[in-house]
Amino acid sequence: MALAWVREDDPVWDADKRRVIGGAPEGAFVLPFADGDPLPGEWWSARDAGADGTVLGYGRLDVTWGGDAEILLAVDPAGQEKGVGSFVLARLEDEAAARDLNYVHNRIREHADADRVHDWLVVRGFRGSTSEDLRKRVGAGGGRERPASASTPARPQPSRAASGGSGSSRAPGHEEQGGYVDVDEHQY
Amino acid sequence: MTTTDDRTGAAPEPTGPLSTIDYSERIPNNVNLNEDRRLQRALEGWQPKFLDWWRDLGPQLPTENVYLRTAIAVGRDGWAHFDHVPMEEYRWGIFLAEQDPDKTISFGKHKGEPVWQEVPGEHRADLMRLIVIQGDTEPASVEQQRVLGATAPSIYDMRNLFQVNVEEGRHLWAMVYLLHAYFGREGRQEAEQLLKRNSGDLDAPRILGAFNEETTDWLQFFMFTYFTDRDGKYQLGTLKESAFDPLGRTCEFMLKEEAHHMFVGTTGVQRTVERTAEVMKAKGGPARFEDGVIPLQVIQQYLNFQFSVSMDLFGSEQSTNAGNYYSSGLKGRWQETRRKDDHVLLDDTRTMRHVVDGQIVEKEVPMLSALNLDLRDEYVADCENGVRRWNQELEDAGLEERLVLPHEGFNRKVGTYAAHRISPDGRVLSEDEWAASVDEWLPSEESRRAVADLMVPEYEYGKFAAWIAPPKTGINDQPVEFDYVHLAEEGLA
Repeated sequence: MALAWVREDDPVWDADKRRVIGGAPEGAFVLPFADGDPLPGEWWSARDAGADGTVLGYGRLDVTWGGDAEILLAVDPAGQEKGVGSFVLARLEDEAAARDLNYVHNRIREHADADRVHDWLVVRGFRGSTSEDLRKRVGAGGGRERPASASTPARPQPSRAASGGSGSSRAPGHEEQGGYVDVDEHQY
Repeated sequence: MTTTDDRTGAAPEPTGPLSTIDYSERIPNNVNLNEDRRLQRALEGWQPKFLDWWRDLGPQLPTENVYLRTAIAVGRDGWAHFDHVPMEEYRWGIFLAEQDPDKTISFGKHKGEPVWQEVPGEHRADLMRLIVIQGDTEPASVEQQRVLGATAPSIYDMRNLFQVNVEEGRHLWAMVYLLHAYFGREGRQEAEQLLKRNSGDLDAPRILGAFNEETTDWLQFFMFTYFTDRDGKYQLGTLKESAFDPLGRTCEFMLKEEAHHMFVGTTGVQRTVERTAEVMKAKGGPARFEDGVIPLQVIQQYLNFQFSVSMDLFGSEQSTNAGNYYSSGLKGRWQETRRKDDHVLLDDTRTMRHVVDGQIVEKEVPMLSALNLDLRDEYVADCENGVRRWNQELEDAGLEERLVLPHEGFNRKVGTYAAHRISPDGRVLSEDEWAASVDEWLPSEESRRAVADLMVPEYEYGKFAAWIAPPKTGINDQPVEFDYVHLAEEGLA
């Protein structure tokens, strides 16, 4: 089956999500939303690339602490075992790598199919010290833009002796004065 | 200085007794480690692996000893001791802030309940995950900075680098203690992994993106300690509020040590700007690399880069997980107890900016979903302080030029701006417009090389490389020309 990967610019909870995500075993997802509620995170749908464009799955990246992202992956219960989940996972890994994220992880909550989800992810390269939270390395880091341009060669100059430079007198060695280290009063 | 504003109340008065640290133990600690032999043995088993890691991936410049600060207590006063110490003999240990037996959870659905002394089963995976990510950043920066000693602009700066490095190592110990003490076999496995992932390793990189960028020169080191370590400060500030009390107390003491890292970044950039400003004033025009200093435009480019990379560390502006962590009591907000709201946030909203049809516009979003943004806003306001400080050097030199923080959407890979090109002054650009100007905004490989060319080591006590101004005072009231580092003979070769 040919699938299309479609980004949702302003994701909201709607009938398609109710059908696809709501069809998962109870407890698999914590998404207490009503129709029309805006959804945090970045969302994509996997659609039948044919004429009707039926939504068959969803993927979401939730970047909590930049470097890795939690993935959400849901497939229409009526469309399972057709490669939709693998398609969504591969696209999510691509999206994460494009954001210079090094890892994605999946939090597996307690539900009837938790073991099956765990094994499905392990087969696809996810690992973890606990069965509830699995992580996978994605991409190899494309790096940020550092365009080349002409610059003038540097010329190191002779060193100079200290002669009373910049900086505050509040410095290491004055920890006991509080103002240097107290987080409410950090001066630096 | 105590400050207040409309959003937060006054800073709390310092409290808590002074708890000394037991240095007679193989692993210095103030957690009565000798009363838990099993945990003690587990940590003593991890210790040689840590020391192997330090030898392999810690500072590479051979030294005899370094004038280092070591924590000897965890109270507000008198906790720091300074002395010359061989770095490999630094007493990395486990120090938690004092326990308050009456402490209650200050936010979320458990607000008002006693803080947790053990990990609730329902939050075990999430708490371990937060501790692992925090722990992963600590050794990462040591790895990134391991060769910088070879190009230190002074012995004073070299000492500051090594102080940062040993304290990052101690912060790794802090997280490893929590993993060993509270997360059983899985925690021990994660502690092992903290030494196996390495900065920049293609197969097993460090988790957070910015901790895999090589620190190529001292300006980048200063920018890193200013912008990226500051992200760490703010993350620690949220974990300090955690309902899991051992985590909160651990982070509270780490924050005190973190102040030195902020000091290094702030004053390092300041002294760089001061020297450049001196040359600009003398020349009556722009300073260039051939003048032996770092041009102001390049300093701005480094600032743009490190700020934008560090902004990504806060994650997406809106996050379901961040809201869940808050509601569950795992991770609070910056200065949570000083916030003037209900600390539950179920009905609160805030505005966030995003791009619609080529324009940056505001929308209202639930506060609970926007806690990453809330923390990032606090961070940006703090970053502005340093820029003002640096600009004071330019003003004092009688110059018109100023450094500025770029727009929050500039050069972003994560969050709402990731799909857009935003200029430093906040204009939404086409790809062509971006490509035409990006080399004015970010450091090129050539300018990084030119900066690196200036990084000639200066190992004579009291002397400073020509691209950076000396500090006003030394460490712990020692003179600037103090022998802060004794290099080993092979280090002088």
